[in-house]
Amino acid sequence: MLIWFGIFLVRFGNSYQAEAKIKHYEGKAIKVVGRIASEPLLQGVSQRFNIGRVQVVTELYPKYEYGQKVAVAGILQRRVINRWSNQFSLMYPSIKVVEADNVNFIRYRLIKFRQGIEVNFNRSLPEPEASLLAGIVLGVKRGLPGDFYEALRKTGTMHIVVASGYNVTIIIGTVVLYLAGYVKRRTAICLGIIAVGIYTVMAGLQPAIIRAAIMGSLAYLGQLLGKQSVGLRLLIIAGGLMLLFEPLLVFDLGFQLSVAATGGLLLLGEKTARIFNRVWLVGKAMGETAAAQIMVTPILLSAFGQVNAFSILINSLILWLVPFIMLGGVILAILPFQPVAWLVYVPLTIMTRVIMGFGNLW
Amino acid sequence: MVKKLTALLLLGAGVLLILIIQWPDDKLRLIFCDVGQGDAILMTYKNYQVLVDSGPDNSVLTCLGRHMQLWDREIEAVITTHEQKDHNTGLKEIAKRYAVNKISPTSTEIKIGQINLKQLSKPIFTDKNADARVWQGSFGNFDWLLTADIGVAEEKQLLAELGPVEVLKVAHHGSKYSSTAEFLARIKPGLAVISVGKNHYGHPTKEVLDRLQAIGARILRTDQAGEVVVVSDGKKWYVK
Repeated sequence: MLIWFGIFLVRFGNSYQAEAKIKHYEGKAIKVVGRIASEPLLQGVSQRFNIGRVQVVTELYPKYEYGQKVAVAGILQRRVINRWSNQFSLMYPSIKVVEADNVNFIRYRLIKFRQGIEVNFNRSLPEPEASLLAGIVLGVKRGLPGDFYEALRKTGTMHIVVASGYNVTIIIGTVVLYLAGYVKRRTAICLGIIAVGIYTVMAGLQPAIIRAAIMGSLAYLGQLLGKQSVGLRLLIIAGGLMLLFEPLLVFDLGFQLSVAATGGLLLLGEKTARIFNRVWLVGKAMGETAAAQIMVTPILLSAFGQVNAFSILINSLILWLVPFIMLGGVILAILPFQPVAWLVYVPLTIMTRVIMGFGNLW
Repeated sequence: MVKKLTALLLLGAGVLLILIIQWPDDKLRLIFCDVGQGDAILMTYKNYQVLVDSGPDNSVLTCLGRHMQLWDREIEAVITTHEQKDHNTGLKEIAKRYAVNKISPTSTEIKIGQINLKQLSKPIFTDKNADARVWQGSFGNFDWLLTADIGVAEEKQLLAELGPVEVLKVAHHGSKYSSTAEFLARIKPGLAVISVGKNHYGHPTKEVLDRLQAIGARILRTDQAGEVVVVSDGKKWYVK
């Protein structure tokens, strides 16, 4: 433990210094060459993505892709997040693609594969259902319509379109649930983890999703191994290792939420299940949401300054639909036919209506 | 097994329900999509759609999703009044998702289902905004005028061709250099819709709001009312 903390501090100090170096260029014209490190997010009339530690905000077109190597020139701006962490950004800089994105064959194929799935969704479903499906199945939130994005934020349901350890536990949980009785429990769990692997690949193997996949499957494994403490220990080890690789994850909201939510499921899952399981249809979702929500609330409070008091209710009204949507999304990705899309549309539109309905209340 | 069959049956019932809910009636809908600072106007009749302009971003997609039947993936006519970002940006994404028939800027008349659209003679333009095509639509006795971003000079040139209409899309998001008293007096709209969002041009201007009020038109702004839907059976019309 002490050794871990020591290494962590050293690594943290290093990255803090690296950041101090960037800070030196604040307000100056700089040129950055690097790979786009995150899925570009489309919001209204702008597009944003990260290169290393710098956020780039640009116009909607031309579209840039995760993994593309670009040269960006502009004036570096800084926004203070807290004492140790800053947001560096380049607003509407000049951008040049310096390398065709098909250099790394595997990465190129993966991106094309995921984009192909997105195209299938977009061609057969209307908005906002299409981008909600892409969010749930692929963990991408690039195309979410503005008003829907707002509604997700207000209702505390954003996590369904973010790749998190929670999403991953749903996948394993669903597979195990469907296969229970047909195959041995151990086989079911293995298949569940394979499903998570497929999900991670579909989502383009982004670091955030890989982290979530590892954490989620470890936590679920621990939960099933019987002892609560095993799961917790696995979660702590996984989280600790990730922090050694990338110390600044401490400030990453997705990371915090993943750890807290899976931790909540492990610590409180049984207790909340006992309370909520009697509720018809949505009882299981309610119990799980409650467990995760209790741990996540303080983080959300400090990050957004507000938490929806009805979040648990809203979540339990929609979370039971997630397994249907995931299954439907996978089928639609393989068989992009209209009738399949109509079947998937049913749970999707129930979900969007609940979210938009509650979102409009505030 | 029984459980899965039930789930599939429920889904099937859901699809059937959507089919019933979305089954078209025989009314025209004139929809001013809430796309922020820009224009996107959708006309629907049964499973026919005409879209005039596509807004400054992709928010027009939600509007299409809401007003097109689930099984309809074709837009029969898409018109771009002029090539400016706040009028043509959404089209790129629309064309990727729907079968789209783009109307050439030179066509003067189109008829889609019962929707008739006529392009008024193109004014000699004075700037980029004014380089716009003005379309007048009709469905039975219900008429509407879509004035894109034209200004005073163009309004003057068009005056001779114009008569009263029920609904007017106010030119250039309510800029004071459009919608003169003379122009408004000629077309006497019952409803004036201003397609506008957050902007630093001061749209819609007080001058235009006053002029509209002076002729007794009902005013609806997409930045306040959100999406504006006008329904007509060819004789009467109302705002939903």
